[in-house]
Amino acid sequence: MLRTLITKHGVLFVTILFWLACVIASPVFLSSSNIMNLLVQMTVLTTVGIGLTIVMVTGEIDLSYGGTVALGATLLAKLIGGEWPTAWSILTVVGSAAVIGLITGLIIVKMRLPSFIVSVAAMFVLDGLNFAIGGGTTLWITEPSALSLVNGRIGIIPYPAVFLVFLVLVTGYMLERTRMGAHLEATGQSVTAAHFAGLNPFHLKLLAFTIAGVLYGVGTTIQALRMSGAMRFAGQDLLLPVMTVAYFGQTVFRVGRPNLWGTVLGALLVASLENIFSLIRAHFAFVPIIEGLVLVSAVSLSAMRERRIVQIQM
Amino acid sequence: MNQPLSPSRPVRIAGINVSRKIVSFPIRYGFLLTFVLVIGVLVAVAPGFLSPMNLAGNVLAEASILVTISLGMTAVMLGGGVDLSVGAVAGISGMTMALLVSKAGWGILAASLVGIACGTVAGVISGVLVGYVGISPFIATLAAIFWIRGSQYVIAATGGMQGAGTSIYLSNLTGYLQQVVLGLPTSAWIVLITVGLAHLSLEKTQSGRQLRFVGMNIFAALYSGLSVRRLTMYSYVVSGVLSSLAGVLLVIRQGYVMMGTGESYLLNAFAVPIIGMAAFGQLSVFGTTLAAFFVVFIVNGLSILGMDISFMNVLTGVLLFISVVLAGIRRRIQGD
Repeated sequence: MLRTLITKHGVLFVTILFWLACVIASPVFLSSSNIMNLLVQMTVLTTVGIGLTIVMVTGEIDLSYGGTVALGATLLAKLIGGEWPTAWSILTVVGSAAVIGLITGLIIVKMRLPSFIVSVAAMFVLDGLNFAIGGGTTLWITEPSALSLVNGRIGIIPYPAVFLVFLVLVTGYMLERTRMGAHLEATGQSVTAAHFAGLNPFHLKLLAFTIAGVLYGVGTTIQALRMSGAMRFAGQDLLLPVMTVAYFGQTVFRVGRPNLWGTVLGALLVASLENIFSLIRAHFAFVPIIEGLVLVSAVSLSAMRERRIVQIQM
Repeated sequence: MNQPLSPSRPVRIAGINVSRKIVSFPIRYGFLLTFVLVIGVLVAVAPGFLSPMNLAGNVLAEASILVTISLGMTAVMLGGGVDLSVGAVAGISGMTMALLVSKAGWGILAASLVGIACGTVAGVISGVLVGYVGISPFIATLAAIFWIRGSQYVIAATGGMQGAGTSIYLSNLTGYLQQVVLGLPTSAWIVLITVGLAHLSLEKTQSGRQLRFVGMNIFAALYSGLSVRRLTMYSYVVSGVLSSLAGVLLVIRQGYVMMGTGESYLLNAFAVPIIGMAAFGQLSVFGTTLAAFFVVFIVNGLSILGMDISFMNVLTGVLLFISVVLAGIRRRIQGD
């Protein structure tokens, strides 16, 4: 009984305790300006994390965002720097990211290759392309109309926070309330069962990879505009946090399955960790240590019941 | 998998029917032929590729690092896991070694042993988390990257390094790997000894064979009465030892250490065993070793020809992709 309770709700409970600790440790943590900051900080993480989650829901994994995010940012900086209209530049970046997602998915699904390895290879290649196009230096974005997209506010709410709420609602509705979401989940639970139920798992997986590509494209756009430019290691810096968020997501709400609300909670948690550490001016060495501890303890709590050894299918 | 080979039945590759005989030759010997071909081309095209200075100073020194760290990854992959923390482990052991040598005045051998001990502890922790607690290797070793990075900051701060951008220089060590002992440079001895020991411990001992069995079918291994948890843990400890050895070698080779040193080796350490697997049909110590040399030869040759080092990643990505396609085709020819 207690074990089931801990396995199912332990992580949520500990997360709430952590937020209580944050509020006690720093009185400004709950101030409206800090909450807005927190929402803006978690936007990119959530966007890319939801993309990864959608792929994981179908039973695959996609680490190519490490390359897509880097390449997308460079492309955006180049296009806006080349006097393209902002809207067209952003659409091009999101479109290319979708095509990249589609191609990665096609290779994995059509040739029946392990998604982990193929997406890592894709990440290498995309990062190399990024280097070839961007030359390995920071490309700045100075166009004010583009930058105003992330710096503007409605009342006190910054645009990225508005977008974040919109994105979570739309993808949440899509995954949890529509027929398509149920089909994606069915594919992930069992490809064979989904096939015999009359679904086409191949198409559903392709769909997941493409949607993920779109989200990576949106994520990289927000990231590049917030940083006012394309950094050389923008993609690699996002690699581990996004994985953390998606894997943390598996430990809450629907334990053991990747799920959207878990991912959003994970992104909120990672963003609050970094936020609270800068608020209380903790030594920077503690940030990664605590992040690692949080991840391990969350997963240990939810793995407590079975304690079986998990293996990776290469 | 259990069906007998049927050479007459064609195999479908990307929707096209291809005769099995035509496919199986390049799959069997393709890697070795390519390996010889690449070396031949590099000898012909890249000036000074075969010079002893290049071979001992660059190729062998670089290979000793890549072989060691990839063998660590191979050990874990044999047991059906993956270790994302190999690069971070290399970093922390290298930094411990460098600080002991430069700030505490220790001898290099003693300092290296302490560095390797650090990496072993990291391996034990990941092994316990995967084998006994039951966390996915992805998550356990991903978390390991974080806490190792944090511990590295602490070690660096206690050692007197200010800020994240500073580095410690150990310029008097850089010649160490090129020193000739008994007719061969030290790096060659390190490669020989590491590969030999890894071969013995992973392919020739009972534990090594049992580990491979665990990787092939964990339930069968469990029902055969093997201590699956202990074997899984063993593989992560081997990985910890080998990747920290690689970290020590890396610091000796490049002569300095800073925050994040070694982390870039993760993706190569991941790619090399898979290239080796595609070449020989299964994970093996020799396959990994050959694949590591293959990558080092190509990178070295291309950098002699003036290619930018950053394209190394693209190259590894393409090699990884070709390998995984080949492994998929091979699986389909043998089984299907």
